[in-house]
Amino acid sequence: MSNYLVDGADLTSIANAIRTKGGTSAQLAFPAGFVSAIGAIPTGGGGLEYDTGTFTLAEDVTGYYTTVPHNLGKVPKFVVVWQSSYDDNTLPQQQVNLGYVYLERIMELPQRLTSAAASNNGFFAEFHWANNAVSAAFSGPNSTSYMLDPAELTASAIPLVYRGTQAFWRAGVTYHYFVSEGWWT
Amino acid sequence: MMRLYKIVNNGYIGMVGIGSGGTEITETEYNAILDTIRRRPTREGYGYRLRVDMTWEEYELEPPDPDPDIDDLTAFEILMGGTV
Repeated sequence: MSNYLVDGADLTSIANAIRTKGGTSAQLAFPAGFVSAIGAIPTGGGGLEYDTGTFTLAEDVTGYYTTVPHNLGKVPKFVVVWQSSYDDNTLPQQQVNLGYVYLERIMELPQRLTSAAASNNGFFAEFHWANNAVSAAFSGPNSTSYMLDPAELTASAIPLVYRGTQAFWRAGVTYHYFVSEGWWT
Repeated sequence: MMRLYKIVNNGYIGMVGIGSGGTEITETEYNAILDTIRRRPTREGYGYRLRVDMTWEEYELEPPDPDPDIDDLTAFEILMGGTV
């Protein structure tokens, strides 16, 4: 194998580039330190962009429209909004109430969830709508009054809509949201 | 570090949250608003808005819809000649 003479300043510039990309200021020994530092840099692309957070409304959403901000920066293709017994003691243990489950243009994903599927994942005992209207098995879509309308989703906000007169999104409940640019395959 | 925020519209606090958006607030303010929301009045037939001064404004709710929304399956069964 050929030998090359390399200027120390050039090696330093390479090391600096590796440190910048790897978010470290540690000294790098050549060559093993360079190799391991490059290997530790996360690969770009392919990662799923997502945002998650919580919100608590001060007023019930009844017959009006409000939005919850998110930071995805693009219109989500997957949205879940839920409340959990893990931080809401008004729910029975191990219960999650779903507000929205939206996957791009398939608006009725809950229709595809069954009580068996929900209980077999080892985490959720039951799936409920956020207003406790439907429990366990989803034999069909529930009221369209509180379905998420994809036309109302934006790159920075999730709409909370209730087109009826009874509260669906309720004040005082801490809801969680997860939005992402897509779905895992 | 979690970012805590509140959203204020027209003199009312709409929500508090953890994440992006709204106006960033301290944990102390977040907890104070959350505590106030969780102790909100619950008088039957009335709704409540939280003013920025942390007092509640009461308003009368519309009477319940006499013809409540029905689920799609029920609507389908009605269309197919089922009983109501």
